[in-house]
Amino acid sequence: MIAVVGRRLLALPLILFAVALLVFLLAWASPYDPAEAYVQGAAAGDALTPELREQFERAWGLEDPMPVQFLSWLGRLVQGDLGESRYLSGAPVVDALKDRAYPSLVLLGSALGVVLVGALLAGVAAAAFRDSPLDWLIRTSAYAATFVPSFWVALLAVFVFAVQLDWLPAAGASNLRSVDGGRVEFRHLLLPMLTLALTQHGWFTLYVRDTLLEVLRDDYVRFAEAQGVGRVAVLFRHALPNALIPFVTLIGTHIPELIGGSILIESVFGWPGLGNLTRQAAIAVDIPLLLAIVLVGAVLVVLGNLIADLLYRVIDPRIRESMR
Amino acid sequence: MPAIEARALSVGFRTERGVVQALSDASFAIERGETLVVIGESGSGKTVLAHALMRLLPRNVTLAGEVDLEGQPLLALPEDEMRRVRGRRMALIPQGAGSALNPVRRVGGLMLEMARVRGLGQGEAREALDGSLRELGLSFQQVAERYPHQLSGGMQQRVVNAMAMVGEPSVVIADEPTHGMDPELVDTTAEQLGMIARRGAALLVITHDLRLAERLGGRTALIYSSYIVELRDTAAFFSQPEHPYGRALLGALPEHGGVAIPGVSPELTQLPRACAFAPRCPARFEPCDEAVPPMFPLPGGGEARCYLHA
Repeated sequence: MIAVVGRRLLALPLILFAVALLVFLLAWASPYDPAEAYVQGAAAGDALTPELREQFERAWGLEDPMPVQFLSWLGRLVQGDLGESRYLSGAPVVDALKDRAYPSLVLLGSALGVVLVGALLAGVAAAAFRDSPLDWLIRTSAYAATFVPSFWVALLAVFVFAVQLDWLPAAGASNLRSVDGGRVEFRHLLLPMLTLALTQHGWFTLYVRDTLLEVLRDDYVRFAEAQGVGRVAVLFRHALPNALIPFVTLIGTHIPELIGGSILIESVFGWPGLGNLTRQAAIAVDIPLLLAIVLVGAVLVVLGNLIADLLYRVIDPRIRESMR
Repeated sequence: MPAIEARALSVGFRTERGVVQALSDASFAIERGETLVVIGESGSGKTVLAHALMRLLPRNVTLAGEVDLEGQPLLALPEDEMRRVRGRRMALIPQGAGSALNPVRRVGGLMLEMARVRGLGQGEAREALDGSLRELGLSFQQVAERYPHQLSGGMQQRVVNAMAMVGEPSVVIADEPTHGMDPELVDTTAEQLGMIARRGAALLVITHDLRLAERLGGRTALIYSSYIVELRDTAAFFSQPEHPYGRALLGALPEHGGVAIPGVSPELTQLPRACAFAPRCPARFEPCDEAVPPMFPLPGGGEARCYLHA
């Protein structure tokens, strides 16, 4: 086990290097001219004179060949220097990420928790009462949640719960860490968290239901039934642990979806996280900021998959065995 | 009173292609300590018989006839009472011990759970399991902390056999207990099944392994196309079968010349209202095509579903 974790961790820097390269190439290949974007975004009325452009290109090293640009960017990256964000009035990108990471992790983590608990409950219920109206309801809502655009659900949630019912604030969460001493403003968290969970739970719920139904047909489940084991025990002690093994990998592969979903949700609710910052950086064409955010997202995906992969080995004794 | 008795038991499955008649008019009784071996080709209804006795059938099933467990009618029991019966008074030895043991559970935990379902207390369960395992040449301690995949095929088989012995169920049903086993393992399994019967359970063994049937002794029920066509003392059946299908089946064994039976079995969705074997039968005569033959008593004991013995 330890050897496998070690091997996976050794591979991590290589994967991260590849990620950094890809992210850099993406920015390099994008049709935006960094200098132009910078000037257009800055104070209105400025024009990009050839002198100004030359000045920028020299300052940013844009005259160098691409590999040199990449290496110098990578070198600064390793030292924790991600450049300055023009959108944030020249603040270091690293600081912006630090400020925004905490609210995002709170939102993503709590939404993922709600998704997992909700999907397990709904999936088990749907499988246990297969083909009943309850099963139909759960399946239909899971499909609906999967194809309805998340920003629409978010706007609807704002309209109903914030505007009409006035139960929860629509927006206005402060920067959780700097202003509120890091305490989560639960009132503000509730709507974005539930909306994100609602729009993301579909695949999870359907997956739990389908794997469970498959496992319920397995020999060991039928043997337990033949031994007179009760229905609830058959479901939770015999079938569910087996159905959870593939479920864990699904969590890993779904982290990108969750991050993607959070961009829109954070924007609608004005959540002070990375998702919201992504949209703002994209609209402002703030390339250093965008590069950094994409990089962070990619690292989260890689780590998520790593954790899921390791967890998967821990819960399946057959794989645990083969790793000794 | 027999431990288990079936009277005119019929099982059909409603499917899109019509009703599949999986078991027709099966009647037999097994006393405690007695063995009944059910033989027949794949798809003839053997496993359905085993599952029908324990009421482990899917929802699209239609059941007719009666099953009594020590005089208590089973088919009308509510499901949760039936579950208690399954746990405490009947036991199943499944086909393929390896796949019947939950891969993510330790063997000890699995066994204890099953023993507690049988109504044994925690300490009692452990002791009873250890006792059964020791009779089969293992101990509880040897297997408890292991996962099923860490046991050899033979050990897995002993584990499920020991589970079937715990709590002294009245009826033990073994469904293809030697399926996919090498000859050595077949030997020990046959011995262990004999031990289960000697301990006083009524033993019903479903198999398509004729040699296993012969070894187990007791009585043999031969199934053809959902019907029990011959029900007799096992030794007598193997020395001289009375139903033409029985004769043809034994004649198809390599040591008896390996003569294949001409024709094919009828579709279970379209069973004739006549003898199901008649189209392939060398002794076919007029009554065979007129009605399904009942079981006729044989002079030397036992019964055969054939007008030759009317």
